[in-house]
Amino acid sequence: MSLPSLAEVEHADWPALERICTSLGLNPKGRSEIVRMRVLDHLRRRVRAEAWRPGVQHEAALLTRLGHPDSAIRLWESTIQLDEPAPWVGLGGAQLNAGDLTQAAKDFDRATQMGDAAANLHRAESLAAAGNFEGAVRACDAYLASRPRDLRGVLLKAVFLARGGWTDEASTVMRDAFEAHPQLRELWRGLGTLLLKGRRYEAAAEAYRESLRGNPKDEVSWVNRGSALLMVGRTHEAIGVLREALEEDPHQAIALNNLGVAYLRAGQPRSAVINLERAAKHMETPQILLNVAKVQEATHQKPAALESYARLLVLNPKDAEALAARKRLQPSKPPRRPHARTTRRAAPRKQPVRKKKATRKRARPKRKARSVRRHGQAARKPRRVPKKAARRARKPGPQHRAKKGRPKPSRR
Amino acid sequence: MSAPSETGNRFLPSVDRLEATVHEGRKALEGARYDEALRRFNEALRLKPEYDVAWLLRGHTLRRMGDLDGALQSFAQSLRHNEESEEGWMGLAATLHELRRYKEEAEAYDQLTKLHPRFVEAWLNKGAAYHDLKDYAGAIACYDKVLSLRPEHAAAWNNKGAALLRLGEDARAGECFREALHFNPDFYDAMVNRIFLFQRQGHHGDVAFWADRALRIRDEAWLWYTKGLAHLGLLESTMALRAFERAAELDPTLKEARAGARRARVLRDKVDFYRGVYECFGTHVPGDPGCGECEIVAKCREVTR
Repeated sequence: MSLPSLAEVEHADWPALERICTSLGLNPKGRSEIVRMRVLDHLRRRVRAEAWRPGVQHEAALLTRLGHPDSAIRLWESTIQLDEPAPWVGLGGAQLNAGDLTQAAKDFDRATQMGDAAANLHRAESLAAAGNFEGAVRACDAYLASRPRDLRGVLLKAVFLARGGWTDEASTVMRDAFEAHPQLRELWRGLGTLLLKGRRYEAAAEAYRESLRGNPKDEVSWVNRGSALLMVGRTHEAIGVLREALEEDPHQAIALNNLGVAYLRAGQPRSAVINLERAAKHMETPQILLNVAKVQEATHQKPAALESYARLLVLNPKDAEALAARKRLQPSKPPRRPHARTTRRAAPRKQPVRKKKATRKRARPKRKARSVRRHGQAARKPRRVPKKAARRARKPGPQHRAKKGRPKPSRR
Repeated sequence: MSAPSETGNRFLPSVDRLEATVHEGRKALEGARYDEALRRFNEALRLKPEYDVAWLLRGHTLRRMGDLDGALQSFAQSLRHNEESEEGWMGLAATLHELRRYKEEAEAYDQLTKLHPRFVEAWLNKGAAYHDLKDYAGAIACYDKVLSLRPEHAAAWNNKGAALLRLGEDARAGECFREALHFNPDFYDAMVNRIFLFQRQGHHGDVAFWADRALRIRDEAWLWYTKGLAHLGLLESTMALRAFERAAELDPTLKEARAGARRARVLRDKVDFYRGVYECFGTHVPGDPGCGECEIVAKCREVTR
């Protein structure tokens, strides 16, 4: 609202004065002359902004931030005035930093009583710091009572609900907030990424769906929604979503990789190989190469798998899995016959035995994989290999993007 | 054949050179380089001994250097050459004030107000001179003259209030301070005078309120002490203790503050009222709509005198 004029305030009757106070966020309590003076002071300050110079309260705020709460408390106490809620908020903040949560809550309470609604949010933080999430949510509600659509308050409430374990309520509050602020649709993607990192895949998939409703061409949301669906076990939906992502840009290595993993989980290893190999062509990362090699190994493409492991070892020469796989896949040499070292036979005898075991292990998945095809059952071994691959491949989806500085949700 | 330039300057001083010298001197005076300023003005007066502006500036320079007698002589010289100079009379009167020669100061302002009857600052200072001479009625007449010329002059209202306070007319003084603060809400002197008035009347609530406002402008130990006393009167022990502690912190020599803190601690064991959001606590006015809605009205009425 526009500011009332000084004359208007000087001649306002009591109800009008109270109304002006409320609209300006000032404390309407007290003798009428004092309240009028309060409003006039406020207006004068707003009309002619004074040149800034650091005061005690600024020093106190800086000391709070710099981690000297005791000195800050002393300074805040010296700035306390009868009608100013701000020093109480500052004092509470310093006491919060000093670990005196009870006193901090009391100070915020005083500021709230003086008409500073935002002090409720500070109070909520102090209560949450003490582990009282229920109280924190109530404080947020008190704040939202005066400003129901305030995004800061709503989001803080959602955070405290989530930290208190009321995740469903938190997501409902958040959803309501986003629906109340359609211009903030971008936040859905941020929420999705947070949920994905928090391993709440179902909710993440939903968040990305909302994000895509606002911006259907958002590639990151498509890919991450695919990842979330894959994690939650909705493989066929994941495949559909990832294909959609690839229709926009067929060269997206991460989407190709995830699609390959999805095909593996859907029992389509050939499609998996094709997509993973395409992914490796566009982006040769150790993770993608490992996925490719594993799938190739699972589909009995031994030379190709060996080559993929070799490529992986070029990128990461110490990769234990690749080293083990190369050892496993390379054709075993005929055992040498000891000639002169008869006395040492006993000790090294175990090694050939181990090798034999290793070859047996290697042979086992092949047999079972065949049996899967024959009987159409989901046997353990062939699944285990894709699962491992999938497990590795799943992680890179969202995490990889965040690490590599690929478009983060907040940036787009 | 041409005459030497120095000779030319000596007998036919160039106006340009004179003005340049005075200008240099004025710059030196503004930059607080008083020795250089004095040298320049002396040089200008050698060039033109009857130059009133140079005498005036010399007087200001000497006044700032602490040579009040020298300054007085310079201002007198200035007025000898330009009798109607406002600045000359003002400088002379200000120097007389610093020399505590209030009677002569008042006479100087008399002269000035005769010459310039609408010169508001002269009337105000004349009133202040009469105030120093304890002629409060004369002072009030001067302030009334100012207020007839400029009714919004906050300093005149404040000074009039101070004079009335001396005459024991508390109600009229209170009105004057109210007017002063109406025209200049950040007028520290008026706030302080109002605090004195309320303190004399025993209105602790008003003292605490106005001390709080004055402290926003100047953080002074005695004000904190006064505020602490008012809180004691309102049975707000914690607030009183905090105020006394702050006073002692600002002025460790203020023994009264430490004594006040001790009293506040003793009182806290018996009573400690918390006013909450009501900064007007202790200023109850029957019939006021704000007081009608107050949650602590009973307690407020009890402590209001």
